[in-house]
Amino acid sequence: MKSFRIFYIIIAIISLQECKILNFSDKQRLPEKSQIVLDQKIKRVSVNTSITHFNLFDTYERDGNTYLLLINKKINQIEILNIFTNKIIFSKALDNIVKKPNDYGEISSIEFVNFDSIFLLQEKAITLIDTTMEKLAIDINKGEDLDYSNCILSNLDHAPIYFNEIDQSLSIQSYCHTCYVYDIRYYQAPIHVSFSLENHKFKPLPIHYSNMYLDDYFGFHNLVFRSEYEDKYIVGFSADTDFYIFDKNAKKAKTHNGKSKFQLFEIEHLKKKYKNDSNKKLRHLTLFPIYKEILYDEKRSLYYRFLLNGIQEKNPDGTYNSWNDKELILMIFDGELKLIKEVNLGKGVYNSSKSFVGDNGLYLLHFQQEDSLNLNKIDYDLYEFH
Amino acid sequence: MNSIKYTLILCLFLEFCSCTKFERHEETIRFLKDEVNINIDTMDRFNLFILQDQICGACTNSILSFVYSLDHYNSLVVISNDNQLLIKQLKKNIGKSNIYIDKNRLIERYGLRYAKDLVVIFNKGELKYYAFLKDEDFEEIKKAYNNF
Repeated sequence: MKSFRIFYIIIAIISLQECKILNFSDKQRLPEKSQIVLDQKIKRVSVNTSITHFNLFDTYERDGNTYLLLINKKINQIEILNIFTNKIIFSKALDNIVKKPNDYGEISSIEFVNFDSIFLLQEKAITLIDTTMEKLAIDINKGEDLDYSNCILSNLDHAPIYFNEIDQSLSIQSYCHTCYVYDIRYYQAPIHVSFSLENHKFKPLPIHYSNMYLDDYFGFHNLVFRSEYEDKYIVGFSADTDFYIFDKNAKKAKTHNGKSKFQLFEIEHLKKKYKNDSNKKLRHLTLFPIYKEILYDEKRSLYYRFLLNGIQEKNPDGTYNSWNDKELILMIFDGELKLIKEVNLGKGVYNSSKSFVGDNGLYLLHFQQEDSLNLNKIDYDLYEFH
Repeated sequence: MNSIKYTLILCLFLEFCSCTKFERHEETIRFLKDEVNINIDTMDRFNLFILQDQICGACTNSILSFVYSLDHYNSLVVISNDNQLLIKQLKKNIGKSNIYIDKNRLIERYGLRYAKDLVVIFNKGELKYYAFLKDEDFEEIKKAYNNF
């Protein structure tokens, strides 16, 4: 009887080990290749603006025009530009149309639905404005929701709000503000919610932090990247090679392999003993590869994923590498999430966080050179894929 | 007899703990010599502050107030070129000659990019003390700063 028990225990251990090995090799493999062949053309697009350094942006397409809305919180300015005509069509001081940051907090996200509907997310309010005035304001983050009183709704940089017209709701990133960031509860909490503009209640959306964050600690390497479209939303995590798509029609989430062949080395977790050591956490984030934004090109049925590659800390000549030495990789997937190709975009050339998909393709924002900051323009490279 | 022995061991242990080597000791000296043209060997006392003003959560108002509250004879404050208002404020509070504007982010090449602002104290060419500036450690840092 006893030997049977031991036998079962050994079988259980072996099975567990196999699961581990399987998961491990799953993470090693590269995405399935697509048969599609893509040609690319690159075109420089310079846009005149008085806001050469912006914190927030969003775009809106109408009648073949791409409108770009920029906000600079420091100089308190909001501007709307037409990229095709290269004209500034609206420029105003922010505080004339937005709730005061001292009372309502900084703006963390904008959603440019159209000229009559621009949503703004502040720490304590959601505001709907047009280009002249406030049209609607809803107080948020007061902790009144008993079920989710620990939840703060905010954009932590890479998850902009999205307006769902069908159910009149906003999708907003969320996090547990009473949890330590090294506590497993932080990673079990909802990462995004659907906030009803009608009854002002919110409910968590499917897709949580992936299991790797429940199993191990990754310090600052816990960034959430989110983008949303009419029929789907896409979620990625900085240390996770996979990404996740929720199909709104099928109401199902699917995991997709998004590992880049350029990824220099595996992303290791950080020892929890460094949980309060921000120097160690910054170094960990700087050195390891970072999976970033995933954007969907609705017109071409393409997915774009960015990877900021890993770096060695020290060079043979004794100098150190830094953030600017990280290469930016663009991965392009077809509509079935098979990998078409990868493009090495070089070091410190483009800012993927401020790039977007327009009718004509992928607009990659050039990092501004210091001597060009006063030229009143920003430069994009438009990648047209055919 | 035993109590003296234990006290001595404890003292040695505390001394060992307080003298944790700064991992970028050599790089700091090289940065000062090659980029700022400062040779600390020739100076009785030298204080280096590296403000990480490009990092979120560093270079806060309380840290700046703390830096301003110190005596800045033979001090150098390294700062990026990004925040002109901050540079102006620093010049006013600690003097233009005590500031090095790191236009090309050279501190990164020397491995001196940290999440926290840093103070390093040299005395007669030797590194005597270093600390990352944190609100809760101000008192201790000030004590060390005034002792060397």
